[in-house]
Amino acid sequence: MDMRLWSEEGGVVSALVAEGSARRSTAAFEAELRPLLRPAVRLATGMLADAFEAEDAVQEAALQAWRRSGNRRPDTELGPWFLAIVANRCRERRRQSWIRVARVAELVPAPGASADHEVSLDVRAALRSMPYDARLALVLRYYLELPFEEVAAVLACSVEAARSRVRRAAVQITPSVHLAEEGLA
Amino acid sequence: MMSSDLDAEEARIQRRLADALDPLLPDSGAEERVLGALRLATERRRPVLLRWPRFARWGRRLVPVAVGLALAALIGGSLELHLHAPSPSREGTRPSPPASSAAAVSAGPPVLPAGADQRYVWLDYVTLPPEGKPATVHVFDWTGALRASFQIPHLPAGSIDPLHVVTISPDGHVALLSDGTVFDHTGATVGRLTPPPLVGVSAQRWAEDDRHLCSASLAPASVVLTLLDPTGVPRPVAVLPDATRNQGMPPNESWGSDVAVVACSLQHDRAVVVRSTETPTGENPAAIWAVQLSTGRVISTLHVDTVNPGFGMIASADGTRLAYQPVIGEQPEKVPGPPGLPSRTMLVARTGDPRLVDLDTGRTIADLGKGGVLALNDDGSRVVTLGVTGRSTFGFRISDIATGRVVWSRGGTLGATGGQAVAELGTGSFIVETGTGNNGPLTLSLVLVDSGGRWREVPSGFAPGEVQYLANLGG
Repeated sequence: MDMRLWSEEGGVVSALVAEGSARRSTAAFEAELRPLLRPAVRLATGMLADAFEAEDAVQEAALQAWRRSGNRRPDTELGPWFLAIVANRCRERRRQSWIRVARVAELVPAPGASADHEVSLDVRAALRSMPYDARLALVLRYYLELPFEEVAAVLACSVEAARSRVRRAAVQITPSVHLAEEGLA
Repeated sequence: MMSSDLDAEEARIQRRLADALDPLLPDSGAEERVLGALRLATERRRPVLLRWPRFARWGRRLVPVAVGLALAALIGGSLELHLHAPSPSREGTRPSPPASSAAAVSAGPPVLPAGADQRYVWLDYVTLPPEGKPATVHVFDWTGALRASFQIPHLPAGSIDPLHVVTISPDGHVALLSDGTVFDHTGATVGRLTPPPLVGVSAQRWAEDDRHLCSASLAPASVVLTLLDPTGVPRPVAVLPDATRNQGMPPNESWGSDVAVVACSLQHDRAVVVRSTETPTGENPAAIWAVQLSTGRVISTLHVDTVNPGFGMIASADGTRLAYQPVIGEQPEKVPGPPGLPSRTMLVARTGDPRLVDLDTGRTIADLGKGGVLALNDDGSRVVTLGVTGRSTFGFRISDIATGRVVWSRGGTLGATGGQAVAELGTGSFIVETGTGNNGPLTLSLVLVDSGGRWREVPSGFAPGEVQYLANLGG
């Protein structure tokens, strides 16, 4: 069976081989991506505070990452690279203010919410008022529990700069955490 | 995982974040749904790749040709051509930009490129920093043809979103980076603004002449409006007393929402400045000033509560009308507590339908119905709205404000990144970005709608998530 279907620029392209490669490539990418999806969903939730928005953002990011997987340098780990894409999708979704406000807010918390529910509402409000960069640093470090090296990789900055950003973000949210807890006491 | 040297304060933050955010997480099936969508998108791509192998190999090198074919076909009305998204291995195969019409200069006035009567819409293709490459801009003209693709020069290190560092003139001829570089629609550097005055992209807006920019900046208890000219000294226009309830809050550059110039017109001698902030309950108190550029006289001041941050407000290019979504009060929302604990009642913003206001009088001209406003034409007599009819289902509409007549409408399902519109200066035409997929891989199309409601659709060749509009939003 001749698998050569067309020839261009002196090279031979086999459609069937290409199809098989594409399938294997997708499967390999999926296998690599799968363990990153939970952190990605957590990151998007931290950034967007909305389950639907978060899932959509991760879905877009996954497709975007797959399309660009050929661009990723061999020495670049998928994790930080993918989380950076997720973070960027969250920022872009946040800019779509008209679409965002037109959606029905999801106000009812999921079952199993923490006993400190009131504190949680205040912490969410504090998060919402934080600048994007600060929120991202905070979520990466304290919600995804990433080491500073990985926070730095996602933020595309040095480890020291990542520490500094996280520190500043923590300072910003600490009063809200304290006030909320005092209100609960 | 996080190291064990977490101090007590960090542990408390960690715990509180988990308490606050875990209840908001999508259900456990989210990951599988994401993978399912990925499989669906990639599997349905294959037949297209086989049918159009050259496109698959060459990526967007052939996009201009394909767009031309699509245009010809669409004009002929007999053929529907679907471009797929570029393949992952397309890097390095982008079309060469046309020869630069102006040599790169480090200083001096912008030199308008040849064909300066041509207007452009700009799309950018964002390349993320871990890849170590700057963003690429794709320039379309108002026929839908791709005119150039180039990488943004001098993108500041660490910038992950060009939307926050680039502002583009209404007709798409020139753009300004936050480092002061001015480049034209071919990517050539044509001038430099010294010193770079920028705070965030929404704080500056080009005037129609492609030479002046209206720039707003926060000062103690005020907002300062300045007219910037790459050839001369910035001219202070007005100091506007800041009366928002969040007066004194530091600039929030990342969201770009604190101060925005939403209209800048030398032709109409007017700028419109918005100072808004975000509050946890979502009121976003905002002050809006219409200012006469030549004298600094404040024509009108409007104070509103809105769910739109500054950049989400849409003004007509002449600065006479503004669309926003108001907050019309607060309402208690009962939020159920966890088992065994009482519910909590919160006050949240109650939003009204988008409305159009006359900035000369502050009077509401029209309620614009459910949904969002994407663009106004030059004088605000026509509006592009986007109605959300389902989770991913939208309906676009271009309406005449005075008569209520729907000039053009279209429904469909599209990715959340679809749905933007740009008004062409001086013509009454719009470009509306929509998604095209029919259950297959979604690509973005540009629908060109003229003032008579006649329209043509041109596939952009890009998928949602790959491109963003940069240009003249709301202009």
